[in-house]
Amino acid sequence: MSWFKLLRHDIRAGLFRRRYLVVPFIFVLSCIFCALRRFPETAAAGWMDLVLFSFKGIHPLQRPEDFELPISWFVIMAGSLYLQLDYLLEDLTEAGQQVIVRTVSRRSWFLSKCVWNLLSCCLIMALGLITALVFALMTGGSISLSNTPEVTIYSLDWYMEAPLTVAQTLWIGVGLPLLTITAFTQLQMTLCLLCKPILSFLISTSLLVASLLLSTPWLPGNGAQTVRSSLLGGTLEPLILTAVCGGLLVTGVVVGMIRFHRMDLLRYEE
Amino acid sequence: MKIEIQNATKYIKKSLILNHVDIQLESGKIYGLQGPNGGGKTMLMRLICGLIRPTDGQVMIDGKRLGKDMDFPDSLGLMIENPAFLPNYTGFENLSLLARLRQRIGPEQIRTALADVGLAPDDKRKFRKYSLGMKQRLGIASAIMEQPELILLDEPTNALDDSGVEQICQLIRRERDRGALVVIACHDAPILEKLSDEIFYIHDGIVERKVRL
Repeated sequence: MSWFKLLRHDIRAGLFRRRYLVVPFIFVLSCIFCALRRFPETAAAGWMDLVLFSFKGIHPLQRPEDFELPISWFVIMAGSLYLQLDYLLEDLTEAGQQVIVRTVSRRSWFLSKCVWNLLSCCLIMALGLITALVFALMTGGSISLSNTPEVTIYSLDWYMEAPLTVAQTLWIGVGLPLLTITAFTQLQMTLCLLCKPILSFLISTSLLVASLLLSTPWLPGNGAQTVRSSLLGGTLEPLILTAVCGGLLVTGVVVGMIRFHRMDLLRYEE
Repeated sequence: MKIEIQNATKYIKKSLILNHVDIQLESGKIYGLQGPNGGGKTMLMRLICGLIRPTDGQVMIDGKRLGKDMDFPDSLGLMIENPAFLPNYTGFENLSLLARLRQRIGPEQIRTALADVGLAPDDKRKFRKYSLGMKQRLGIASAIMEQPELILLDEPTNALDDSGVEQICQLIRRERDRGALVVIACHDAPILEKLSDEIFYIHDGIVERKVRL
């Protein structure tokens, strides 16, 4: 059996779901938070300003008592985790059971779920980008693929004379957050094979919160915080963050595959 | 096809689910599994189809070890517990999607399988609108449509009326006569007695061959 047929099942059963319609609302919330900041009258937040703000996170803490949960960032990150929490186990115990017994190997079935996870994260990111684009157009912002320094000083609390290049903007504003979300959802999916889904969600979100508290590349949640990047005044190298998130993603896939190959496929309550 | 379950024991969370099961199953026969709830019938089916792995012992299918030489039997039709399909697709669409995975059958065979279990192939209702009995019939259709060598049916007569039960019994016999190895678990002892060539009684994970008088 072709592995792509398996993937087609996962796209059909796991990607065409109404729940993704909540994503634009989450990103609109973030865009509104960004727009509510006091910009000079001449500068409206552009497309990439909104995107960079959505994944802003928080600046490294000087004192723990300074901690304030960045609500829109947390809703985007934890919301992405929550959206993808149940599909693996739901498919495993319901319609997917007919599929899995028709597969040649458990590994190919799990690999298909990993690719579904990646596609699902891409869908979330695409919906976020479209939402930010529409918001920028409606509010008169630029649709350039780089940031606006006059806005960045207010939205990201960082002064810069020249904007980031398009490649830099897309890397830290789109690519790295996408990789971070994918790594976290993969971690959550793998943890689902080892413990209860709600516990895997709580562990993953705890790691996200920990990455807000500590500015270190070894906590992968830093990858989705644009202000932690050395390109926007932080101390963390995007390349190292990319490598750490990539490492977490690959580890999640490998551990999940090993675990799934050995585990009993039972109903959740069993 | 020959299935040999050799001294298989299964623990789940320290509970003994199957206790030194040692049985052989061959093609062209219907095997009935009888026993109380929680006795291990469904778990034995899951063991045979590769969904669970024995803690001890092994399952051999035509000389190949399940879980080592293969993850799942190559030619398997399965309905364990409540049949689940994609809720927003019709019965025909659901079976078509499954059939495309192996590409062993086309639309005509799917239509035949649906008709065989008493469902209208052109019914436009989505699966979520199906009654319990219709869901059950669709589950059986999915298990038999590809004419597999091994068919596992857990409570196939659940939610069916008398004529439906008779229709499904005839279908199961037909599959046996075709040469399939059929394993069914059923609470209804008279139906199981009538249908099965051999019956195993399962209680507390222990499997005993039932002597028929």
